Amino acid sequence: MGCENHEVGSYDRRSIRDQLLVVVWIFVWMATLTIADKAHLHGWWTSDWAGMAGILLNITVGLGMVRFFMQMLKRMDDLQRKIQLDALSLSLGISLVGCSAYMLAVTWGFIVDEEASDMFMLMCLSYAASAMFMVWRYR
Amino acid sequence: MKNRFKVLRAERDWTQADLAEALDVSRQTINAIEKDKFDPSLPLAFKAARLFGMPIEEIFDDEA
Repeated sequence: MGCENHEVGSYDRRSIRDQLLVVVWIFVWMATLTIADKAHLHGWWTSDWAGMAGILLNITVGLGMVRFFMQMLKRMDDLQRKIQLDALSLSLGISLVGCSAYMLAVTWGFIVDEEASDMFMLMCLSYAASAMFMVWRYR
Repeated sequence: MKNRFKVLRAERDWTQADLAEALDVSRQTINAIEKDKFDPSLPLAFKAARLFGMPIEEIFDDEA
């Protein structure tokens, strides 16, 4: 032993690699989502079979992303896993409250052009904010 | 729950990074344990006990 405090350990190196890989998974999943959506919007794919294949590809990549995230959670140490699970539960609560308030606002006509992507955005932002809050809390 | 991580680490002249490497956890985890912000799981507590070469009850005190 004798390395300095700022040195990146083997756990941290593995953690950084996992975080980079999860970003790649998210990017690929979002790419399949965007391509399938835009293909319908701009009429790139005329066949229903192509649309079905696009949706299946999106689901497959999405499930792969979820599986990788679960494996990553298992590889994390106690504190990092707690941070992620706390962030997930907090963002679930925020998303639930936010989505129900959003639907109420749509019902009352305060929001006229509702988009499902608004819900996705809320989930993603609440998870990112929750994770940052948890990391700050245990810093 | 109080623990003696910081004292035991200092006695061995280890840095937080050294201890994190030996226990295969992040440095943030060691820091949080030392500041009593986070209680480690039983497997991690046993691992630490083996590393320090002493019983768990001499490292952790649940009545403090």
